[in-house]
Amino acid sequence: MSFKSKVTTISKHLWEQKIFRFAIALHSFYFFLSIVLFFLFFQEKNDFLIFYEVGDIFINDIENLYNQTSYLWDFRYFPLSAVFFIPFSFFNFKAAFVLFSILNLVLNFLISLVLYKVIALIKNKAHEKDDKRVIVYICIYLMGLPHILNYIYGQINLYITLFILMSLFIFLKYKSIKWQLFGSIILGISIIIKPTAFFLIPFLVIANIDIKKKSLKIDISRTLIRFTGVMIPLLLNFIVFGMYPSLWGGFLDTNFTGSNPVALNFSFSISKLITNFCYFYNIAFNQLFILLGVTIIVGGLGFVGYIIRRFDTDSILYGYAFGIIIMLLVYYDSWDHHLLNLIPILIIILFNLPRNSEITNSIKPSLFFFNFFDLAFVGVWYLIYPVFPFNFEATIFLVVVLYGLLKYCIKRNSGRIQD
Amino acid sequence: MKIRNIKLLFLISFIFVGSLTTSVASVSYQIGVSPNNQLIWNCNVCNKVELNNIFGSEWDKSGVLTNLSVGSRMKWNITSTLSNETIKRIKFDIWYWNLKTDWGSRDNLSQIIFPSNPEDFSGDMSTLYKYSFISFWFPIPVGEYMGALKLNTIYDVDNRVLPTININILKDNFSPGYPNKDITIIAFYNDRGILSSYKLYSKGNKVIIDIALDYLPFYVIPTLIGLIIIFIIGVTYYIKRNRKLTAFLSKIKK
Repeated sequence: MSFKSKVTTISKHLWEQKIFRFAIALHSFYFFLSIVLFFLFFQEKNDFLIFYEVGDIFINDIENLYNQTSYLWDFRYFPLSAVFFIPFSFFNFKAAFVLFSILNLVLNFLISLVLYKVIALIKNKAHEKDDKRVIVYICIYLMGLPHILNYIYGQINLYITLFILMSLFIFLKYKSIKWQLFGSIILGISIIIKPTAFFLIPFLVIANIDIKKKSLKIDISRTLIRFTGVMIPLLLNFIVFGMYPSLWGGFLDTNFTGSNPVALNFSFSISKLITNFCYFYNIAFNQLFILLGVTIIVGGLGFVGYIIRRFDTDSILYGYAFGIIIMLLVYYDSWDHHLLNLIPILIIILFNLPRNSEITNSIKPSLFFFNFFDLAFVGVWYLIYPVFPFNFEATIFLVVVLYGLLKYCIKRNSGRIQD
Repeated sequence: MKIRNIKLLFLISFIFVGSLTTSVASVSYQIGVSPNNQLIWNCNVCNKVELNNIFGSEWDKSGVLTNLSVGSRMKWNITSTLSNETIKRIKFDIWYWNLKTDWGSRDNLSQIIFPSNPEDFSGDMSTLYKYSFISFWFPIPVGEYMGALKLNTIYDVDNRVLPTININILKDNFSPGYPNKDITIIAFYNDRGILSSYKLYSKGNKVIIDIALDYLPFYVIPTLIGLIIIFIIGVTYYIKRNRKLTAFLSKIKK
């Protein structure tokens, strides 16, 4: 069958399903609504303004890359992320934004495709043979409300999601050394663009501790290859830091010690809830210590749970879920649109788990909350912040998922149907 | 026919979006307060010993921090506003910080003037507002106005969530001993351009001054109560459902 006829057949198959037509219509509505809202209200209050500026500054004035007076809001990412935005700085701002939004739209369809491929690869045998339910969940992803803010702000989360899913697909499908290297390089590139996937790095380790037998099983060569692969793109940044030493101080100050982490906002990370609490009740605090403390506790729990898990098949999938949840719970700024990195991973996990698994019941409500309700609670935060400045709802659902995953990893008989 | 309709829909949408790119007007700034509006601020924290160390003993003798102490209140009564193409101005009676329950007659009258175009602002905020370092009022939309001001490098406007000004001042920044320690100020404003919260910190985020506007919008408490009710219902439902599910699963296993 030729590529064209294959695409036509798949498209027809999808179009026959009502939910798919509805998802496409709704997602197109989000896309156009976001562009309209951008031109009416958000032109001067937009994340894409920073990305647009940063491309230009990288070419013409790299020493001032972390001079925050050049930007509307702080530029926090690795220096090489700016390279990615250089092509957009050649257009005028409005045209660049529309182009960027169209690319985001295309990315969403690519993400759906990779999501489908990954699910086909790891689907538990206890699920239906046909792909109707898979399509329903992909449609749920496309209908997600976080897409609205992602489009309006001109955010780059979809690039991260695509790279994460691609690397996951590679790790799950190919076991050879060269593919392990390639998958981890892709993950490294995603971290360059935006460090959301930073906490995925420890979960690249291929190791397992059997507590009962008191034994450690570790695949040193493949683990080293993975770490090498992910570090290659990251280390390129350190070449830039080496060439322009002032950038290193700016990068650290902006991310870990500047005044922005102190200001009141609706981020749902545990670190932010604590700093909001300290701010609100005038408690002296050090934001870096809070960040480290939360990282050690949440990150430690996730990592230990992952290492002592009682299964091997598809374990990287759970490592990715831990990594993203830890990042969302730990870093100061966790916004609604960051959930677009987590939602596809949760969907994959739902299909990897047995249909009647206990933790499906903790993941499903969280998935629906992230996808459809979290945005509403951002609005609620604006209404009540003078007396209660805590956007805690998403935090609870994240903790519920983390707890479910930990339980699943540790429990003796988790009901998996192994391949 | 269906595909043609979809193509048409996309074409219309693109034309609509394209037309918007040429029809967007620039921001027009307004005054968010009116004559006879009364604005009252409360002082929740005022560490006088630390303030004397940082600024010397004159910090509460003039300006907007005059007589500041814990539990005291300050009142402004807006007497007139002026908004034209060149300036935005408010005039107001001021009752400086005091602990009295009866306001009595005003202590002074004052005014704040900003250019209508924030890019025309050429003053130095830290000189204009000595010791407080910021204005208690700005034209609206306040986030956009503050963001467009050309302020010196100690100021960082963050209008991403709440219109906020972060000010980081290093020891001896203005002159030897002024200030005598590193300080940070975080101030945010409401949608009327009025200062909602002002906090001055010394090293280690220790609060030295905490001032808050004495005003709570009518929707805050009902919304909070609604949230608490939703939360309680959610938790109860979750627990009940989990119990039922556990009982069901154990039945199946048996």
